[in-house]
Amino acid sequence: MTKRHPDRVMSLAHLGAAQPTRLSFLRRLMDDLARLEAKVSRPTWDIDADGHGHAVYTVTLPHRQLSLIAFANELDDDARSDRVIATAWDAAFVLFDGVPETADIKRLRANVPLQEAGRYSPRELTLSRANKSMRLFTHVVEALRSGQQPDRAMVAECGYLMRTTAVYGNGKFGLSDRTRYAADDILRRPFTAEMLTVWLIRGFTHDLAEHLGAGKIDRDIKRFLGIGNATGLGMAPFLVTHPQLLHAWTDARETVLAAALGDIVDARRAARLLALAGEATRYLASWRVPDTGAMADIEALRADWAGFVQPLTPEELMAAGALADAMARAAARSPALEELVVAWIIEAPERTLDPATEGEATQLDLVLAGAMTCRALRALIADECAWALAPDFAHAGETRQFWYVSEEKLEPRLGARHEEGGADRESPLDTARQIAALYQSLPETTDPCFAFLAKHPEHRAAARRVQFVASHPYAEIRANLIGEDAAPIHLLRCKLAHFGATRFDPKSRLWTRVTLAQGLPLSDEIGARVPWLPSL
Amino acid sequence: MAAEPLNWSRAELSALLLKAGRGAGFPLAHAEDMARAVGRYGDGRAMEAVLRALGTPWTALAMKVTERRLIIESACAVQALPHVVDALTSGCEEALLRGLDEPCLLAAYLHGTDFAGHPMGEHWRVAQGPATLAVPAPQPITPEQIAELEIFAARTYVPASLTSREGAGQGADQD
Repeated sequence: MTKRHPDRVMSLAHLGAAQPTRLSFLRRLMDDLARLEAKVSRPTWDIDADGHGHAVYTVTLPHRQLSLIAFANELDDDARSDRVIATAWDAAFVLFDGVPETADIKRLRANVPLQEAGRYSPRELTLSRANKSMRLFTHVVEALRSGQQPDRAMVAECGYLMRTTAVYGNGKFGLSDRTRYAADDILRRPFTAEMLTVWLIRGFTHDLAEHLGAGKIDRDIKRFLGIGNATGLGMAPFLVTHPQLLHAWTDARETVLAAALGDIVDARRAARLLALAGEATRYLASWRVPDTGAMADIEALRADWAGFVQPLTPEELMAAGALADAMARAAARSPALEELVVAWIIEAPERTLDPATEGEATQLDLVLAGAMTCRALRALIADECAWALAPDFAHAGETRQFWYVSEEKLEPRLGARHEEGGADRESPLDTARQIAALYQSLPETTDPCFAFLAKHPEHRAAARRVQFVASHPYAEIRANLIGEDAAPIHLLRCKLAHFGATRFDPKSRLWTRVTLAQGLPLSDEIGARVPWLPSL
Repeated sequence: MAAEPLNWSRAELSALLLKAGRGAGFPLAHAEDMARAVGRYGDGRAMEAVLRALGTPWTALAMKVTERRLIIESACAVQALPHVVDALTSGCEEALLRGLDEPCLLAAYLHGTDFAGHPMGEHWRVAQGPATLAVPAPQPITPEQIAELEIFAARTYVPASLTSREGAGQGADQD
């Protein structure tokens, strides 16, 4: 069972081609809700005829209750902004630990619509907000009012009634620290609280449209209506600052892939693989984006996928080594095709997922192995971090960009190092450059590296990362993130695919739209089949 | 300083401490260790010690390393303790901290390790074994302390340029 090489998996080209898999966090949430026989109720619906007010949705599990509290507000059309820096939204939400009392609602009503400007308590696990997708939201409401169903083509094109921006958790603005619930049966997986929030918000958007339209949306259309999300640079640094998690998530996928590649494909598995291939074909056919470059990439993937699936037959798939051969064919074609094939192969097994994936939320501190000699540490860098030593950092292009936190909004930004000021305050996302600097400074001696690092503490962070990546090979993005060619959109795609996002719709090299929870079971369908790649 | 309780999560404290450490010019790993140790610990007394360290210029440590022992003179806690942990997890038997400036940070930095600090007159010896001194109950962190941290953290912020906003998102969308 050989896993894919990290130089390949962790390259920007592959991270930027990632697809959602059955290991994605939204999918695992659905598994857990079904396993725990969760029930969703709506104890409060205090929404007026204009669609303003508040609602509460409660998820009842064997061991606890969690509630989404939704506040729907009046918002002028010209104030509706996707930017994380906006100050007003159509709706605002918190995920609450338990069932809120009247006093909780009163406290939260004063804070939640303010989002970042409010303060929260450990009773609140997440905080989010959303704006209506005006064209589709209005169309759905008007269709329902006239006794019709929404136009399926319009629904298929947009795919959501509201679009979130940030979904905050883990202690932001006084919210509960993740450590308070990291051992919980439903919340232990990474970003589960955030994904549960998104899935419940989706139900609220359906209910709001039906309330205003005084009608019911057909179930298949409703199921297809997910939640939009606009994601920018704010999400990117996380992958660099959490190497433990990046490795755990990626290693889980690669472990399951390697196991699936070693399986004997029987007739049942072959039939499932072919059915899933058809599902992907339909998804790709319906995946359209406005950006011409991104659309060209999707069309190329469509063509590659068609060429890939065309020769597949049950007999071919049941031949010895067929899946490994398929992987090799895809890998020879393009990163986009390879990553789609990875997700396809992972999707097919019907067995319970490998327990190795249970470690996805592992939170380890990076600890220096200080007894390692300086010579051994140098050798480790040469062996494991060629990607960090390859760039010539004396060349201006290799340091063209710098990451920073903006003074005005405290949001991550990218600057042009050689044209703008502020590089002296850059965020430390230049891992490759840090490792290269450590390599250049390390003497070829047998002294323990902790003694060297005590004299050169500026290299200690890089040394810890090098040692960690030696034992956790998927911990680092194997690229120079300050080089002129490093586009943040690849990092966003990687993380969003782990979340389970579909229909990536990049708007620039800095931000993208996606759809979350599209095709997932509705709140009264927990336990129903979950599609890999949804289409209407 | 007023001891008004503050609802700050551990994650918020750690994030702010990391930025403050970087803003004060600490090496990245030292800022990370301070954020982890003091952020998790959530003690106003430790925070006060950290604020004093943030305002002190970073100078090279005077230290001596032998096979079994690390000795640091005039030990500034936030500078020295990360190296103490490195040394003890790397086979050194003990670390001797002469003139340790902020002993109250020992518990925060050694939390979760097998090591403990023991007073030796004006100095401290850190070695494997259980703590022999009772750790005082944590004091609340105050808004004033947070405000001071934010001053250091602000040294890592950069005024956003117009070009950095280009392509970073749309102002409004009615799709």
